[in-house]
Amino acid sequence: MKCEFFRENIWAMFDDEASDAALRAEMEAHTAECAECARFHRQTAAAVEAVTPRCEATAPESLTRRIEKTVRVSHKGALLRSLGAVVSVAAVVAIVVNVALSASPVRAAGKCFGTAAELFENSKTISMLLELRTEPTENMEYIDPSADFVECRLDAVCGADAVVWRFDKGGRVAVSDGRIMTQWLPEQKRGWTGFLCDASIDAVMLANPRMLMVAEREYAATHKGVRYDMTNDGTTVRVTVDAPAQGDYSQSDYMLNTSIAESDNRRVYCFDAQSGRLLSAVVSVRTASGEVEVLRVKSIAYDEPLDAVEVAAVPGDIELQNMLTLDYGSRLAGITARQAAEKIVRAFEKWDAALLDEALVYYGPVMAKVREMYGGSVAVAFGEPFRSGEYPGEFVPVRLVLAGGGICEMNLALRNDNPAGTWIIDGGI
Amino acid sequence: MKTIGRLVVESRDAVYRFALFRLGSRDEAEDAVQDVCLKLVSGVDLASVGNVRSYLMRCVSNACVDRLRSRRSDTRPVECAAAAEPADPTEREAGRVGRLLAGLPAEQAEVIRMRIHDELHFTEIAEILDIPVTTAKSRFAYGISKLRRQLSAESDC
Repeated sequence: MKCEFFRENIWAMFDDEASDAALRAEMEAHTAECAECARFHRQTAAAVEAVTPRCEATAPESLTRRIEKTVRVSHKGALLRSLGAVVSVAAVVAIVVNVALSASPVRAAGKCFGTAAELFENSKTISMLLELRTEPTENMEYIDPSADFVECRLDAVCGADAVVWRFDKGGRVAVSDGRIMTQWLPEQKRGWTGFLCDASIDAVMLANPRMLMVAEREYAATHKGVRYDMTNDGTTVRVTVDAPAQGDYSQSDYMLNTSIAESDNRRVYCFDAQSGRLLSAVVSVRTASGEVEVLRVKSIAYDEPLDAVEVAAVPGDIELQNMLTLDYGSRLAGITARQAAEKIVRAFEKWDAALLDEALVYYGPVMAKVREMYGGSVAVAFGEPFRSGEYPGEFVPVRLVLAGGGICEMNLALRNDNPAGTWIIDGGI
Repeated sequence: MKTIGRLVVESRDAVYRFALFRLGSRDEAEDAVQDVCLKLVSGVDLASVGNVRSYLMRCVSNACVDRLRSRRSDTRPVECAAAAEPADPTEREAGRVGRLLAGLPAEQAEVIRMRIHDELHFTEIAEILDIPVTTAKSRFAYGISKLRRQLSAESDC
């Protein structure tokens, strides 16, 4: 082969069409003999690499919804003309899964999760029993690899525009009507409402399988440091996601392994190869002492008879604080996190209700309990504030002498990303 | 025969990526794909279309060209938009690749995008652009060689 011919046909080295296989083989043989053309090929490959996108871009959920809505409207029209034109969701999914398996692993995983998300939307109901290493009363996303498994139940009813769901972990229950999430502590009969579901995907990820699949799909789109593996034995598609902990731990690893996202984790999902339905899921995190399973799905039942009103129902005797109408105040605005922590903790001593009502605005429903624990306590030391993980605020180490004489050390979680720019406590106590 | 609705749903990632890397904006890419979707579901009979995937890509390509043309004169295309770095990583990546391809003739850059970004074969590229397959291949070869020289020159500096 002449070098000039090789260079003119360099395109063949960057296509995989079967009809050009013989030409490619001939050109590869030429590179083994000609150092100049081998160099030309390497430099061209580098140019191709330079313009190859370094991150996946998949259709955002908003576009998917717009398209599906358009298609649904179109299908309704088609239905009037020909019932024979209606195609089952399962058939569409089988096609998508098959297409996905022929694409690159990352893109394929993204498609697989997208398909599963569609199925969750298209299933009428889902009931899931799962086990989570957590504290029963803690936030929904909280995990503790050293804790025992807590049995949790998820029920979801999928409507045309929203998924209504209930996630019950015994000590804390959350429900969503598809727009607003409400959660409460059954034993204390206190809770919070007004969490906008679209704005808190992380918080509801475990509780909403559709959002979980959507989140995985978004994850597959960016895949920074994430590895995917997919196998298909003909009946089950198994997707394994190995992901590094998200967030910044350069100042402290305090938040490491407190949520799945903030852990080096492995997520293994099994989908039915024909229907695309999620069959099982296991999440493990890698800790200093080894890999620990923190979430495992025990069973998933589709299309069980569930009533959306009952699923989203909040018991009448629960006292709720509305997060949408909070009065943040401004006593702790315009200062540092450390200064705010000092003011707050010193207010514990004589219980300065005006200041503490602002600083502990999220704790309204359980304020009596907080006062019982910390009222009359005296601050003896403050540490340097630090940031950790994905938490949007700062942690301030504090040492207190409690009213009863005991010593209490805590990292107050303070954030000021509210409309008033004022520091409030949302954890650590 | 697939319905156009199913085709768009199945291909949404590919068409969105196609639009994003030409328009450089997630919002504009979404709108372009939605425009195509609306247009197609409202009355295209795929029985009269040869390769439906190529047809869909051609529609999205035309929608992107229309949008690039209708941009106001003070809005520059992605190839030139070097000023504000977008927060979204995919928009940033579209900008980075766009700047690399900005030095090539538009028709060569387009074939490179179609082959590398959209993973289209040269036969499909030829069909979408309505050009001979040999032209598609030579545009790729000339364009990528120019880019190779450009990158070599940059690394020599």
